[in-house]
Amino acid sequence: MTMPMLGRYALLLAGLSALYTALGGWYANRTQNRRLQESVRGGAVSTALALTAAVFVLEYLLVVGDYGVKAVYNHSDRALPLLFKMGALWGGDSGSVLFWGWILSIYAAYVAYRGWPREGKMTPVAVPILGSLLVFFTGMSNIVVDPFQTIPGHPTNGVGLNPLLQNVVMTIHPPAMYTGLIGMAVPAAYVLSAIWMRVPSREWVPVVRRWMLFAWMFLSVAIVLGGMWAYMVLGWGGYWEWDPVENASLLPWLLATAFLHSIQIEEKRGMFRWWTAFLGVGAFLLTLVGTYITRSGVLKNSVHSFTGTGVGPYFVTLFWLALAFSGLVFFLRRDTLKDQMAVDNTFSKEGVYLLLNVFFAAIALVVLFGTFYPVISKAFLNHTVVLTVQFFDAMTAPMFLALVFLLGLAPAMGWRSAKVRTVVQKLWKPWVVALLVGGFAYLHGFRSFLQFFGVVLTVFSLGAMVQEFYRAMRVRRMATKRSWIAVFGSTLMGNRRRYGGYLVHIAFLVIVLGVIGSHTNNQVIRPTLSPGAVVNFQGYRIRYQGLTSATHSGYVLTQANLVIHEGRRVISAHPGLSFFPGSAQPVVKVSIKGSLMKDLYLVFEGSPGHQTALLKIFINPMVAWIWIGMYILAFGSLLALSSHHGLGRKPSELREPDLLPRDWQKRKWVPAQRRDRA
Amino acid sequence: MIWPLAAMLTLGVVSLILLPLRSDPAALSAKTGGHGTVEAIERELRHSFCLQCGAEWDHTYQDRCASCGSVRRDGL
Repeated sequence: MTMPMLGRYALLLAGLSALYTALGGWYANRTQNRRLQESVRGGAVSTALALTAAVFVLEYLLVVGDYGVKAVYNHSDRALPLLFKMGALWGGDSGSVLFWGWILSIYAAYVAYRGWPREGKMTPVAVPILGSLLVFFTGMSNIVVDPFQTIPGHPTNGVGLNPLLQNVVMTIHPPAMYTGLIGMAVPAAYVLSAIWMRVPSREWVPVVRRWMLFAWMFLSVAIVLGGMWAYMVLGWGGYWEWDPVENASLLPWLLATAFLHSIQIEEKRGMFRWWTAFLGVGAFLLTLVGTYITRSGVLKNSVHSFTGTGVGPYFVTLFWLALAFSGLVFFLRRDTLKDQMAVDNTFSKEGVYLLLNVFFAAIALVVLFGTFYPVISKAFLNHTVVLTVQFFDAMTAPMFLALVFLLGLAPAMGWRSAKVRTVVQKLWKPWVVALLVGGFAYLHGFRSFLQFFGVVLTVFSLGAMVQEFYRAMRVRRMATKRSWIAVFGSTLMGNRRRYGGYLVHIAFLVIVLGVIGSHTNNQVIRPTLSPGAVVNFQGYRIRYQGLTSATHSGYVLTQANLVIHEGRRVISAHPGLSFFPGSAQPVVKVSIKGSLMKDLYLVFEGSPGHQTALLKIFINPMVAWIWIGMYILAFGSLLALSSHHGLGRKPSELREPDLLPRDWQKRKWVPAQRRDRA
Repeated sequence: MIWPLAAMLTLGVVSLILLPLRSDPAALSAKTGGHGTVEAIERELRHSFCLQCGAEWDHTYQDRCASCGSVRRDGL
């Protein structure tokens, strides 16, 4: 027996275990056979065990360089550094599908092992749903894209990994993306099982919210990391291009974000039930659409054209099957999806959340339409029309700004109804700050409608968030007499769900400011320089000193050597081009001299004559804010995730959703004697 | 070298599936439990304050501050 055979055997075991988990789970639920249910839990864990073995075998083959295996031959070579050899696992279709299945199996095993007694009636149904998905992935790996397929001739070296993927960010971005995207399967499975089993929302909401937040966090970080990779590697000076594959990750993110807001209404007021359930399942369905876009090659205008083709149709089939199954569950259990209450007054927190949902859904529709427009135009107009960045910017930017405004407004609004006067009283200070900063920004070049109002609205919402922190901290300081720093820590830790959420909002606003800033006052020049030549650009004095070439493991790097004077500061930069054997196109090595307010972004485009250098020099303002926002977002999400609110309580101990009594305005409130003083 | 790995994998997978079929399900379920206990959540609840007047939130009335009647709570 060889190692590839062991990998195949592990895959076969995984496939059989997944089949057992799916079919056995359904049968056990139908017959209420407790022993069989327990065995199905073991099935989910054993699927994860077998897939882990398969992944380890493939990683082993990549690391030792067994080029007789097709997946190793196509995506690795001897010269590749160890980190990229390991990252080559998701370099092609076969490894990617195996990796997807593996992550899903770990999710399923965790759900089966930890969630079974805790999540009551839901987990015994959720596990077979996840098991059915595992049947698909293990089936794909066993039949369609075998990662252990061997090739004849015993080659001694491989083709190598796509040079664009040989970047540290690219070793983190795909696993984070997969963890986020496939993680959406768990809340979807829980939503469907909760609806099917008629589980009260107070039981399923905390579970699903937490799982979605976990997947959302990874997806958010992965999206920003993808932008970081594009910025650092592709050399066009930007980070987001509304590329079909970028959009493919944004679509589930939009629905998941809407879900995380909508579910709070369900939790507090028992409203938006079917919409929340739809978003929970829809976010997962869109991950399948996204996978189809990435893997099918149906949309060729993509920076992800390195991904293979062939598995797309299978993902489309899975999408339609999942859609039909979800639709059937929704239809058969439509009575459980009725709202407990209606919106009394649109000028209320519920009203704001409703608007938030409308905007998220509208942006998702625009992005979906724009992404598939080449296919739509081909079908109806008989020629392919690709919508440009300007279309997406013009359509989505105003809606994103509306979201930014609502984000600042929401904390000041009360449930059921809010008074305009009260809201104005709470928010006038952030408005004053926003207008002052807006005026300052106007003087510094933020002069278009979107730039100016973007800054004003974002600063307003940031101010509103900071004010929320300040209020809570002041109250705690009054109660505890501790220092502001201690009070800040206790505020964060005292209600991790709320303040983790606020931190995530602040992160989003910091990212928005970075996006607006990077689209304002950005400059670019394209000089051709001879050795010794100097170019002055935006306060930088850039002297070109000549070219150098060096051979590295697996590629030859040619660099333009630059000395940059910025006031009294002198720095050197070495933008270059990497030439990989077997790759016609050299890969750009961008040099970024970054600061908080602007990046000097240098690209070496080639040498048109002896020792001359054609450079492209960008000034990109405030891009660093986007990366900083990502770190705050991850921290805030982790903080919110660490709150176990609502989990682990038995149904009998759960209180009703946080509803105010219908006659609360008529009630006379008498201060009750404090429990702790009694 | 590889055969023992395959055998161990098979043993692991098969035992994970088959052993629960012979076990007492009640005993198996009791082994695992949730990490968010009622006590922990109640402890969290006790440490919340009214955002309007700063009073510690009284849980006799869950929806309004017992001191000033505000619904704004630095709590759940």
